[in-house]
Amino acid sequence: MSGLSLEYSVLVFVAACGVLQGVAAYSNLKGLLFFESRIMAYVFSALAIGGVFGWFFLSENRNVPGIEGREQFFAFNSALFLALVFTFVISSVLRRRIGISSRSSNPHSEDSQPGIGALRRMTYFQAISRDFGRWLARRGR
Amino acid sequence: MLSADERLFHWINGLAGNLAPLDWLMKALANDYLIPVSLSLALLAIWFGGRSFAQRQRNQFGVICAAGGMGIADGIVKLVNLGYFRERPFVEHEANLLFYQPTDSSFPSNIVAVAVGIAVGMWFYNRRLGAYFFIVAAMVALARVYVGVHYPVDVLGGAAIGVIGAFITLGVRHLLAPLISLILRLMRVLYLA
Repeated sequence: MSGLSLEYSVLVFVAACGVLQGVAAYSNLKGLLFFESRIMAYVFSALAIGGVFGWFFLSENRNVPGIEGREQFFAFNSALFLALVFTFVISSVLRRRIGISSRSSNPHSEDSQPGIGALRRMTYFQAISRDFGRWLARRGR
Repeated sequence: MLSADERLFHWINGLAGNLAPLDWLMKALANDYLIPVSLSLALLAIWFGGRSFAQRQRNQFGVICAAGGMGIADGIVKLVNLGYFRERPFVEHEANLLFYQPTDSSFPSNIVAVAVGIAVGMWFYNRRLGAYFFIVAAMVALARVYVGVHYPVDVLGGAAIGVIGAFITLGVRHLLAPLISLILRLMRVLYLA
């Protein structure tokens, strides 16, 4: 991986983490947030996106022959995948005390179903472990 | 004798070098990374965004259509490049070059095809977001001519390919609906959709 390719991956990784925090705050996905406060999430998002774009584009002249299309595609998707994993792990650790009691008791509500909506009231790890528990219970019957 | 395309190129590119802030802005817009990364991150935000299941589902179909439009447009550009090569304007004419010298075919503009493919693909599901993306694509198209790496016809050709790519995606969307639904269901199980 070339230096530019690595720097490009860092750009995508940090910016994607910032985007995920911003959109989680906007969509009220509390289980994805690194901070309890949504305002802090917006601040983190702005700093991460602005900071990494500033670093990448202002630190060097980027109008140079660079990363070939296929390599760019691979670098973008790898960095995006890592940003998702990083966000899921960090938010699950930092927000592990998210209010379990506030979860809806209605089995048909969005946060009781699989999908992003469930992350409004639980972390990624809590959601996955809940589904694993349900799957074990079904197998035990 | 210059063609209308070449005359328009000289008129737009002739503006370069007169106003430093405008040159800086155009170089940023024409950059190989800034707009593609920004548009892709915007699609990521749209994918996760939405305050209800219905809104999120609609957003996700929009992102799938935009990504399909982008991918097909990119494929068409590569096919065109197999059979047709046009020299860059700075090779054939005296130009104000504010960019590095690309060596691939000038026609069609790949970055414009991809940006328009995203814009039109999104427009089918969300007119307002699609319009924003289209404005960005139009600015990129203008910037690529301004910095001296494309003729106007190259960016118009790229835009036409982007529109075709998005319409092909829309056309095959119904054929692929069961597959798309299956993928979305699997992604929901993993809390990714």
